[in-house]
Amino acid sequence: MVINMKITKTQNGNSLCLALEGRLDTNTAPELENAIKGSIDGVGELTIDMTALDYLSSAGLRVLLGTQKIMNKQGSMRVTHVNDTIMEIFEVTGFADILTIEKA
Amino acid sequence: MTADKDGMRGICAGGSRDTSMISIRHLCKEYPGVTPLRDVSVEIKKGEVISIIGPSGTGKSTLLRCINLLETPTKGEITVGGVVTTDKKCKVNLVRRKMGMVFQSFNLFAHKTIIENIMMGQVDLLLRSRQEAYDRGMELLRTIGLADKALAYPDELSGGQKQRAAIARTVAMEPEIILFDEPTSALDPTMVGEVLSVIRGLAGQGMTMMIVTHEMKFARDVSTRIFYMDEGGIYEDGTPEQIFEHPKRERTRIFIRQLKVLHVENLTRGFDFPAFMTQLEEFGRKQQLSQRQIYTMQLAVEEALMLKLLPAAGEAGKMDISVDVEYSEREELVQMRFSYSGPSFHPFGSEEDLSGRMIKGISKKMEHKYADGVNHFVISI
Amino acid sequence: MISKRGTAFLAVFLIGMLCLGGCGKQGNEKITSVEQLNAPAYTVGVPEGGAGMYMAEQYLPEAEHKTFSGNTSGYLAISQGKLDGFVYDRVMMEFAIANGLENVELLEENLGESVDVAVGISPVSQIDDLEDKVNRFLAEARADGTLDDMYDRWVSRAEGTMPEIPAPQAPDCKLRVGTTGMVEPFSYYEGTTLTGYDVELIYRFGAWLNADVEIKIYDYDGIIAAAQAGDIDCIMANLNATEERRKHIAFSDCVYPSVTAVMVRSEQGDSPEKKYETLSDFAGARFASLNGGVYDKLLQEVVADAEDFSYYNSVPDIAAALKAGRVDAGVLDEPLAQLAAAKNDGLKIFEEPVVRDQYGYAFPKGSLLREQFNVVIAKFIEDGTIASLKEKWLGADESIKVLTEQDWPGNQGTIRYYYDGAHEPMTYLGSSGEPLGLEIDLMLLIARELDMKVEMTTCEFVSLIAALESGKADVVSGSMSITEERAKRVDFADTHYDSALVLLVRDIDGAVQEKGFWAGLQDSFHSTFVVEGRWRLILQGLGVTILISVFSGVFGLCLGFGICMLRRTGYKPVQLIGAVFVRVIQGTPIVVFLMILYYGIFGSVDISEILVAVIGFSINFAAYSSEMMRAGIETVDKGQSEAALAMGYTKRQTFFKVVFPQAAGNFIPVLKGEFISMVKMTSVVGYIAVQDLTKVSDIIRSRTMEAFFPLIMTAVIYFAVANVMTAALSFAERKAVPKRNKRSIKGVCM
Repeated sequence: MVINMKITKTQNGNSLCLALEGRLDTNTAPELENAIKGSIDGVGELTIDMTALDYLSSAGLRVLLGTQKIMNKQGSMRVTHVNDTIMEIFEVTGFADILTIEKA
Repeated sequence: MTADKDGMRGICAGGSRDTSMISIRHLCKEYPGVTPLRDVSVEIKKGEVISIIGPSGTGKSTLLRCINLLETPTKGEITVGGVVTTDKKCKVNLVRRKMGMVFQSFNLFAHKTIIENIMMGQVDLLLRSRQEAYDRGMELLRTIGLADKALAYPDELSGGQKQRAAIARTVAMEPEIILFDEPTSALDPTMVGEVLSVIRGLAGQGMTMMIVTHEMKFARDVSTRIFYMDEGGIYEDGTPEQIFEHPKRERTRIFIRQLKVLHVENLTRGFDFPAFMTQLEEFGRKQQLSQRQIYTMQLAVEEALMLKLLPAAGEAGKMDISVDVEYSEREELVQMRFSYSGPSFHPFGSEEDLSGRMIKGISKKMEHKYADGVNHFVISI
Repeated sequence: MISKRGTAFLAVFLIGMLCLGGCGKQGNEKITSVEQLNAPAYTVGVPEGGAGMYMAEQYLPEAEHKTFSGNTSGYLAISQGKLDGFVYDRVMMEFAIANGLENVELLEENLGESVDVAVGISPVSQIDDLEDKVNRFLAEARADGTLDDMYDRWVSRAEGTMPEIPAPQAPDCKLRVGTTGMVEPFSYYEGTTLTGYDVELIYRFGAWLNADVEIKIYDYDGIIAAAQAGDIDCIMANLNATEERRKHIAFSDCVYPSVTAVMVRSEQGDSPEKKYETLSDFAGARFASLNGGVYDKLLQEVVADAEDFSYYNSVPDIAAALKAGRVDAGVLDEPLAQLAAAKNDGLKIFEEPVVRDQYGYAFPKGSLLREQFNVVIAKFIEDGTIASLKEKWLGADESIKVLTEQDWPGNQGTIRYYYDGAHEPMTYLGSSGEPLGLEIDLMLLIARELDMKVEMTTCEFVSLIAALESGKADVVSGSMSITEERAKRVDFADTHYDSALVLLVRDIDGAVQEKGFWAGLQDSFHSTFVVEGRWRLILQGLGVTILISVFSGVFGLCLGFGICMLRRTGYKPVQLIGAVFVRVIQGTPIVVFLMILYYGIFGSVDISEILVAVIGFSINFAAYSSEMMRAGIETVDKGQSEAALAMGYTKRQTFFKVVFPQAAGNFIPVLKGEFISMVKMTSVVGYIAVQDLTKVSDIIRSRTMEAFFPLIMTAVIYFAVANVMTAALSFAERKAVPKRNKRSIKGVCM
């Protein structure tokens, strides 16, 4: 079990892709927040790739929400490769409507 | 009955005249390194059918074997039929003739035929004539359906047949009580039933019995009383209904429901969260739980414990928080039980709480109870 | 399963073994001198601790030495080609050859000086001044000629009869003497009786000492130790007083000196005997003849190239030389040759006679007595008297060779009869000097017919005719051939005996070499069992073996049970003792253990050897059986004991009713095997002077000089005994262990 989280940035013009690996919980959420704050300027397309993400808690949801709000102003955001459990969480919390989720 | 007791009197120094058949006082049995029985005191009355259940190594067999002195108690006193058997001067072999024992590994005499097995004790110890012993033996065999095996040798019989024959051997001695030490544990599941039915039959005839067993259903049906043994003694003692439906004590409950438990207590603010996550992961792996179940458990701890309870504890002062993760394979249910003292408090009190919504969404049930100053919050996964 | 490499290795290994075995036949050259033998390529056998051992070390240092216990095995090894030479006492080896040892001969040279044969004296004997006493006895016996006479009787003439020596009526001490019983003619068994030179010496000394004599039998290995330990007072067993032995025991003065010689094979390998078809085949052969005979000339007239003549003093000497292969034919008068052939298995008379001969009584020229003799002789030939006389005097049965008594009045006068007393069977002297022989007997019969008395005088052959001429004798005889030469000087009566000069030869296609398997077997059987009633000896030995086995088995089993129970009591020190005991006994070879008991623990106690053997084997068997019982008991699962106890049986009842019957079923089969092993192990009791079956077989072998048959017979007997015992034990086993297919229960109507 990976305790920490690893963030891999891929920039392509004004498209930014953040691949998350590990756990997004109370401890690691601030790390994501900082990463986003630092790179979000001038990004028109933000992709959060959750292929390697094992775990997401309320703290993670909050960061996603905040990021969505920012991107709503400057472009678009999408979340990709979400696993079934996390998908279910998005649905029961209503986040499925707020975020743009691409399963594949 | 009275005659029997007088007869017994002549064998050893007589004790008090109880209405109990067996009286055990402060029995203790120690081995180098382990003490299966710490302090056991109980009365057993005539006609009772007592099933002894409990996890392995909790002294169930030891208790039985102390009663018929196959093991010598380290401390304590046992009185059987008014006779103090733990007394040094007691002629143990004479006392044993009133008690029968049926073993897990049958222990039939390999060099004698079945009928001879049954005759031996009658002829040698009860001094019956061979003919009488034979007739009684054959009758017993007929009752249990083994008459055609009378001239066979034990190694020619199946496990179930052997055990039934062993029971017949014991019954032939007309004991006052029969002790069964895991009578079906060594049997193929297909043969368990035939043996249990014989035991059932004996119970129906009013024989006093003590049965160490893992067959819960059987224990429930046949017994008048259940001993749940744990922690070096009789942990809980009650009727089958009491024990199986409403176990009073913690460990009884866990055992009855065959729970696998992870217990963590005295949790404080600075607790090692990653470590707990790892523990949950391992527990889940060990019990072969699904990834989703493990996720939910971890989420429950994060959301309920870390984000709600611990902050609350910080304000309220000491809260004595403990978490029990219980997994019942039978019921395929994982339950996370949070116990904490203080005022009544539900972690996800507010309906709109994100954490609450998450947990609610992916768990089966959430329950909160408050009694005697203690909160019990249970999440069922 | 075996790989190619493995097979190759195995093959090489086996071939190697065969070569090694084959290498037993070393040095195929004929050995003619001691010097020749002294080379590393040759192997010589030496007797354990005997004089030969030291001689070999000194004179044959280069050759390889192999030690043998006693002589019989050494002889066999030579004849089998396993040895090139055997170093031993000359007299004994000559004796063995005379007794039938074949294909061997002795080298001319002796090794070193002679070594004394003396009486061994125990340093711890209870008898005071024993050495002194023995020496005085020996001095006396030498002074009055007893020793010489004994040597003569037993060795030189090989008579083999023990004289009557009365045992002391009121002995004042006990004399225990050790001997071997395996060396002819000094100490050996005739049937079941111990006899020989040394045995006679023992009885004589016992009488001289006024002691009650007890004789004990040992091997050469054990006899010195026995004397050292004080089991015996002295040793009379043809013992060489070597330096080494003097370190352990004392020796008396010399009884007789022994000379060491070397025995070698006579014919190398299997060179076949020359087959003689006609007289002319004997051309160039080696002949033997009696001293003073005229045979060489007679032979040379008939056989070409008959130059090689050796002269001997007596017919037995010629016979021995023939058998040993030193000569090819003995030239003798027919009656002498017939007697020799009758007495000696491997010799026969060659069919073609050299020259026909006739014997006759000789009278002075012009004697009237002659005519009278001729009448009677003619009558005797007719009525068969002569024939029956021939049967009587020419056969091997000595007991019927008695003369007719002179019980007639002799009114017609006296015949003065001179004869030569060295012409067996015609005229010779018996052991007390009395005249015997066919011609003497005939003379008496004729005299009876003529009613005349006979006055007999012995005389040398060469002087017989002179006696006639000088008028001292009326008639002479001595197997005298009627020749032309002689007839010029004397008048011969008509011949009473048609004789011939014949050749005595080795009987090659008779019973000796190619016997034919069954005949050979029959012979072996005969000599091992029948001769001298040896079967009685074998039966005795068998009895001892069975006695020791059965008693040891029973006591051992009981003791073993006791030890087993002891080790189950649970008292740590007791258990430890039991465990140590078993370990020690199991780790000690039984031979060593027996000797420790006999020479050590019971060393100073006068205890029967058989009892020691029984004690030893009982303890040994007890150790093994206690282990087996323990193992058998362990295999019975403890649950059954618990069940019995739980029912109310006492510990004792549980053991005997539940555990032991099942344990017995487990260990009895193994015990059976162990018992049979023990029966075979008893074959070593010979080491502590017990005469069991194996020892008896040894004794017989030393007489018959045969290796194969007695050994095979012994093995067969052991096999039979083992099988009988196994059957008996199996029977007991079936009674003890319950039958499987039970149809009914004892004591119950079903």
